[in-house]
Amino acid sequence: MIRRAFLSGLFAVSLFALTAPASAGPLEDESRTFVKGLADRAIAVLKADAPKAQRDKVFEDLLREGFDVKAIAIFCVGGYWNKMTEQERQEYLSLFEKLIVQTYSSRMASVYNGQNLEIGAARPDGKAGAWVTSKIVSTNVADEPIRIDWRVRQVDGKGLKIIDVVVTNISMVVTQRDDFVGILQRNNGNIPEFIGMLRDKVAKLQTT
Amino acid sequence: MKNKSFFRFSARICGVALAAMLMTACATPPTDPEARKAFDEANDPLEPTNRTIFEFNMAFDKYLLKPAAEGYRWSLPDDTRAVIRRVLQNLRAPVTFGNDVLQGNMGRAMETLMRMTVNTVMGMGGMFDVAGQYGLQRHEEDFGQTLAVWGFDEGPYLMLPIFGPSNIRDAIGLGVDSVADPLGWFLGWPELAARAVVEGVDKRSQVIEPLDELERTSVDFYATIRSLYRQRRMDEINNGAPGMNLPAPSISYDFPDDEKIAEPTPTPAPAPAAETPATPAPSLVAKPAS
Repeated sequence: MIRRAFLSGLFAVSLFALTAPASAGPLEDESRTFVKGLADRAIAVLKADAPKAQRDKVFEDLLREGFDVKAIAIFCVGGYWNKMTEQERQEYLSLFEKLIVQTYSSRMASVYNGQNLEIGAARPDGKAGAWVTSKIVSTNVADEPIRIDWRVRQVDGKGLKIIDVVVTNISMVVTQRDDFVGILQRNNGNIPEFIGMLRDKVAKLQTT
Repeated sequence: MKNKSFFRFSARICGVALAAMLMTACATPPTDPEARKAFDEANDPLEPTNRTIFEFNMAFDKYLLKPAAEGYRWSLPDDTRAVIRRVLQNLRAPVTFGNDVLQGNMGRAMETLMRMTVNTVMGMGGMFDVAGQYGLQRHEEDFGQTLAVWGFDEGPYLMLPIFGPSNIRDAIGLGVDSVADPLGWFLGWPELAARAVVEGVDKRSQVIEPLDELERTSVDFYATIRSLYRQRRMDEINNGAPGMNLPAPSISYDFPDDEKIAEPTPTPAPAPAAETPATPAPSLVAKPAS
């Protein structure tokens, strides 16, 4: 009897010990599953080496579903968002989404070489957010894995959304903002010119 | 002794570069507060000069470095290039060791020392990473990082001819490392220069596609490189510790700006200008329209 109680107690303790490290909150667990689901779809289309149009479509779906595109877009123009007219904002948002789809669809296709994504631990980020860690593991064992951290947050009424992807501590969102704000700062905040440049860039990327 | 001419040579280059920088007018800070903020954040008062040097570097890359890197990759098999890379990395180890020590990181210094010893002896002059198989991971340190650990500010961004993106602190670090490199005790400047060339070509050969893509997709390639350089250095200084490099503004993803605009225009979704079918315009704060 005593022995059985002892054993079940031990069992309970060891069970707790086993689950304890992974007992991040439900938000962290959900975020891991969420990121994995999106990444798997991206890798599937890359692996299939699908034609550009099809790949672009998948990336567009993933972006809309999985990312807080508007929040990212606003962040990327810094304070200049406040200086845009409503019409400029709409056009900027539309171009931003296209630019991101084109950029990442082609960037990933050009470097993809059979790698897999392994999702690691997640840790909380503020009240309604999480960082999900992961690494890109190459089929060539000699290559060092590349760390990718996903910043996820709970958006009211829309569920989980990614707000940043950080590759070896380089934030894609910060890089994009520095690109945009650099232009706006140089052209003295000329928003129509900036939007024109985006339009040209998107047109160029869509055709090649 | 052997290095005397090399020193004189590099001193002259530095002198010329410095003079050129001082002679060029700095960019005048913009008056508009938003532009001023961006200007300060970019920390690039020498931007006009830097951009000129960047243009030169791009031309240098297009006609010399990139073709050399492509030729290097085309002519030698992967394994051979991996061996060359490991030898070069092993030759860097003394500098890394010195900087590990200067940063007070004795654990990492020991790691570097052991790697250097094991790979030089058992790995035949560094051709094979024997130490890596025993779990001794490679890392690199330079004097720019040491200065950062000591608390030196990065200083204004600098675009160095041929060497590429840098800043005052890292440029000083580059100079100190090249002068203090123990390899200089054994090699003359032609050998050191040869090593620098092979190193440059090898490094370039590893990023041919990523850099092409980056240039193709950036709206302002110069600003993108500047941002990437800064973030990468931050990562290197923090020895890869996670989440250290995100600047304060990006931590707050509350987007107060968005809230502000959401007041006068609560529902941008049913926009009268039906010109935007691409974005469903999800407003973060305004209640879902549907």
